[in-house]
Amino acid sequence: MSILAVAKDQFSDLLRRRYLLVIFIGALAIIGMWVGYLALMKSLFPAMQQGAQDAATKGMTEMMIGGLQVALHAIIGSIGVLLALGLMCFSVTSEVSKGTVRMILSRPVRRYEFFIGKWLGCVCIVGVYTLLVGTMVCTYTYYSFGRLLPVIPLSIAMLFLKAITVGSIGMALAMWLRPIVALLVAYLAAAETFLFIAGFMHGIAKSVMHTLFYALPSYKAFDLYTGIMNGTIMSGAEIAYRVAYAVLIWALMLIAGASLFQRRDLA
Amino acid sequence: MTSIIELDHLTKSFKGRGRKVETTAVNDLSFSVEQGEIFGFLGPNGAGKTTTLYTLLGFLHPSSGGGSVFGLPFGDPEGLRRIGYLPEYVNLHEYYTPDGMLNYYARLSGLDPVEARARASYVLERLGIADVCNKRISKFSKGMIQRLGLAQAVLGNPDLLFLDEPTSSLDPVGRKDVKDLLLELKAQGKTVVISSHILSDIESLCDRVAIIRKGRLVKTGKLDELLSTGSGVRITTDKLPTDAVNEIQQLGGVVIGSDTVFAIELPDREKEYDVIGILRKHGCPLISVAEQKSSLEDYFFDIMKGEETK
Repeated sequence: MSILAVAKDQFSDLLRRRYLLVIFIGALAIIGMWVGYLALMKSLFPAMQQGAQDAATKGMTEMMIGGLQVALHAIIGSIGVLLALGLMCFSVTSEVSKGTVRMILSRPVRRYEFFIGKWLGCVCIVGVYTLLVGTMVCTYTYYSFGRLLPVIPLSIAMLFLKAITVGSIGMALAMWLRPIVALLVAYLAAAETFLFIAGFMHGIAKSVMHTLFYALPSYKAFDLYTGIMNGTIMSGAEIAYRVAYAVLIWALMLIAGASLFQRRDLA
Repeated sequence: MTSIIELDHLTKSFKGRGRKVETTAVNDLSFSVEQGEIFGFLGPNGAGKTTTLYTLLGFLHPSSGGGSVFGLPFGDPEGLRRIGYLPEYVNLHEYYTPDGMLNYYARLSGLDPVEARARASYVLERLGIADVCNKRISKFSKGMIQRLGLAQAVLGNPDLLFLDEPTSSLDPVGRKDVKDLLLELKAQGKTVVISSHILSDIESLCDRVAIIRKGRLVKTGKLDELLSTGSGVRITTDKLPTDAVNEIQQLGGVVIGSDTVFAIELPDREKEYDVIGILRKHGCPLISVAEQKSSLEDYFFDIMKGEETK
């Protein structure tokens, strides 16, 4: 009950924030610009028009669609991740610095309930963002190309999982580090970062980087760029694995974050 | 009397930057608060009053020692269910209206929605903010926010109230309203712990007080007893011949007065009946005999001075 009350309050609070409105409108504007760009390309290359049936034109069209979709997904995905990180890293800490947390925790609310409630409120906001941009991307894809490959909505759903995963890591880290540092660490401390760094290293340093690669969560698991390019969809088992992976990280981060918050002095 | 709050050698230290310097905000504090009393918590700025309240509410973890509230550990949700809290700086979510905010706090407290609505209407009315219940909190004055803070504190009809500077932002009318409310709560058997700098409020409301300085307990006890400690008697009459004045002065009494009213101050009660005898002998009517009390303010400053010289 308390979790839902805190989540609802967090959701309502965030919906009133002007910066959030700017982010939402910005993301939709980017999609709009992409639609405009594609319309321009279509007028320049009439072969891209719907109905072109020969193999060469079809291939070019597919590649164009794929390329644009990947770029678009990368942009809206990055915005989603930064949005989730920003909201989650500052959600609890801003209540602590403003002092409102003490008013809430003077009620029979357990700290973990407050923490999970805040997380849930942020998840809902990121959900609204995903729903908005996802609906727009799917609608534009359907009306521009006359069909909607299943990989597009799936990719958007994966972007949501990725955003919440990175945000949850940031939120847990913010209980230990300064929120802005937590945000940066959560964004950069992905497994892939250390694989990339390992490429420049040798010996023990390389082994350490490889160990970190296996120990840290992978964000790449949620990027379906190849699928978007090829128009192929992954198997149900692969989807289930990714969902389970995300939920496991969320659970671990919520436990870690709530434990750190429990031990914290709210002076 | 049942103890509702027990503090047992409570100590709270904070680690500074680099975790090398440690500040002790509360040092070996022990006292108890009984059910149904209004308990004043006094001390200069930085004495550790707010730190103690935060620890009692579970916001801070004790460094050593401990205690209980309603026999439960600090911050236990079962205990918090029976507690109302008004912080020194009332920080509310400004996008709410008073109705919305009280509804939110009622949900957090697990109150029944119907009961919560009735209580919210009552407390808003009682604290004089019912007519602005649809206005955004961001538009509220400091005094109105203070009243609203108090409204959320008493919303769940708590058995115990922690009030940190409850009248600091209020005008005289608001202060009177709050004092009346607290006396009403006391009459209902509620326990109130007030931390305040406004000593006249403490003096007019509290049954017992604890005075702390630099985190240490300096004095605790019933207000009447503390203020009468070391004080004498004041006898008033409207007639005092010179012979009587001389006799009284021989007994160590000090006569202050005009032509119409005379006050005789005795440093202790030993000579009280001797002076009354002198007045009778000279046919002087006795208007009053009262224990000479220092004000809480005088007492507080004396205590603080005494501590400084230690």
